Order: sequence, then structure tokens, then C-alpha cells
Amino acid sequence: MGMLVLLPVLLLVPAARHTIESRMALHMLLEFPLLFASGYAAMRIMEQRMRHWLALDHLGITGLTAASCVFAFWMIPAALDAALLDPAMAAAKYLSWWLAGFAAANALRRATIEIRIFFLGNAAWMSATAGLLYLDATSRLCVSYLFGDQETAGRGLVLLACLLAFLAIRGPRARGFRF
Amino acid sequence: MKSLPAKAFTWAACLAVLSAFAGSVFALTSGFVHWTFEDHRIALAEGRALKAPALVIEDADGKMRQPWPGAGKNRVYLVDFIYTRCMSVCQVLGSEYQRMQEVLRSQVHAGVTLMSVSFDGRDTHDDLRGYAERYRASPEHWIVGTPPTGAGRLLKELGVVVVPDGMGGFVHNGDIHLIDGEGVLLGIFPYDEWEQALAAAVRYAGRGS
Repeated sequence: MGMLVLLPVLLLVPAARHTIESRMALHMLLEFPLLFASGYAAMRIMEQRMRHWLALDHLGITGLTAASCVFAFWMIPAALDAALLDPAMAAAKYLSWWLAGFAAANALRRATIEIRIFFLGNAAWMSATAGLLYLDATSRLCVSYLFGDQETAGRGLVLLACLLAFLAIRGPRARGFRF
Repeated sequence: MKSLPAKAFTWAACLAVLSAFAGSVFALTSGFVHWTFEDHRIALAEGRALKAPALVIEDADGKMRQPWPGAGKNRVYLVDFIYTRCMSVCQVLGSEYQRMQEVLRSQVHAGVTLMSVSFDGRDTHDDLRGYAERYRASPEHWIVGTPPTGAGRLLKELGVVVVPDGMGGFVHNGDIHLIDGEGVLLGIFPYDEWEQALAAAVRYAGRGS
């Protein structure tokens, strides 16, 4: 868990960050999950200490709503470009994805199976839609990425959608996480 | 913690999160309209909201020229961004510029100048002269050159993003930029709409932007 938390340190190395962010598929399907995983791990370490605050979020619905919003926002082509061209948007991207992982980690464990299927299913649907839109586009939607890159990212998002759909039904069950 | 306040808090927090999300998307897309960077840029150009910085350009003959500011709103430039090693799309754009030059030659359109700006630091003077010769660019209609300090700032202010294509070349957004003598971006046209670009240029040169 500790190592996962520290993963984003990798992005402080300019060469690593540049390599990841110069390819659309790596940007969306490596960097986003990496930040998410770091936040996720941080929450798992801290959740016992934060239990009084976390209990305010009924069944983790707020956390899952916030994580879904972060997911949806960063599927927008203009957002991807802005994150590369505007340092403030880049900071917002790092922070929001980390917080999405932080919020989802505990929320997913407290959600009922129905809530879990709703949110993960929704994320799968969003990922598939964005992926198919990127695959379907006849021109570059992001000025920062090549056309071929966009297709690769589109395919990757469709695969991610399959993974999310699988996790929605077969992932670790809600185990009645109680404080 | 009792479940009732938690439920109320959760409803309120979800509403706040969703409002923040809607607000962010609204701001990013200028009111759910422009979902890509380029759409947004075209809208900014239509609203005259993009301005090119003062430009000094060294042309293919080694002469320094200053297209803007100060040339006035009755002078317009049809600007494209090139690198002379380009073998694919720039060849097409080069020939579109050739056709525009033919039109400018055959009809008198005072105040319209074509301009090809190289953004590739590898382009030497000879490369630019070679490019100008290849397309028979005549200096009174068509300036081929590069800013002595590099094209970086010009591209940045106009929102043109150059991406290496992985094969030694480049890809970038925006094909033909219509810019007036004060540096204001008036329009962005794709390669195949060069006739519209030229018509718009002639219109602006006639009455001032």
C-alpha cells in the first residue's frame, strides 16, 4: 500500500511524465489509474483514523458520485488538451484523480451491491461511450495527440469498460464494511 | 453517527459535487458548446479574441519584414505553418497556396498577402529559399520565412500545437489563419476551404476588419 501511495512521485520526473503524457493512451490509461491507485492506497491506510468523517457519507454514495464526476470530466477531449497546455489544469488533473481514488476506496467497500453495480456500471458505460467516440472520430479531437494515438486510446477505453463491467458484478463483494 | 443526519449530509454533498461538476464542464466547454480545444479556438477567432504577438520574420531572401502590428486593418495575411521537410500534407497546402497566389496575381487584391511561417528550427535559409522556389512564391504576394527568434511564441499565442509525428515530421492543428495587420486572428480555415479563406481575406482587405 505504501508503495502505491508513492507512485505519483514518478510523475515528478520530467522525462517520465513527458513520455506518459505524450501518448493519449498512456495519459488516460496509465497516468489516470496511477493517480487513482495512489489515492486509493492512501485511503486504505488512513480509513480507520478517518472513520467518523467517512460515516457522514451514507453508503459511500458521495464518494462514488465524486469519483464518477472526475472520471467523466477527464474523458472530454478539451480537458485532456487543457491539462497539457495549462499548468493550473494539470494540477487540477493530478489532484482530482488522486482524490477520486481516495474517495472511491472507502466508498466502494461500504456501498451495497446495488450501489456498487450502479456506479461501476455507469463508469463502464462512460468509458465505452468515450472510447467509441474516439474510435469513431474522423479527425483529431485533441490537438496534442496524433490520430493513431486517439484510436489506440479509444480501444483502450473500450477494454477498460469491459474491466469495469466485470468488476461491477464479480469484483470484491461489499463485505458490510463497518466501523 | 446517526443515519438520518448522514443521509441528509450525503444528499447535500452529492448535490454540491454534481453542481461543481456541471459548473466545471460548463466552464471548460463554454456552456456545453465546444468540446474540443480546436472548436473553442475557432469560436475565439470568430469573437476576435485571439491576437498574434508582434511579428518580425526573415523571409527567403534574408529580408526582415514586419507584418504586424501597425499595418492596419485593411491589410490581411493568410498564414500557414510549415516545415520544409514535410512530405505529406504540407505539399498539399503548398499547392493550395500556389493557387491562391495565381488568383492574387490575376486579379488585383491590394492588401492580401500569403505567408508561410516555418516552425522547424532545422529549417535553414537555403531550405526556405528552396521551398519558395519549389512553389514559385513571389515575394510581393507570398512571404516564406521564419521569425529569427523562432515561431514558438507566435504558435502559443494563436493556440497552434505542434506534435512530432514519430517519423521525423510534425502534425499541427489549424491550416490557414486569416490575420489582420494588427495581429488579430479573424478566422481559421481547413486546407480544402482555401477559396473561402481567400474570399474572406479579400472582403476584409476591402473594408477593414
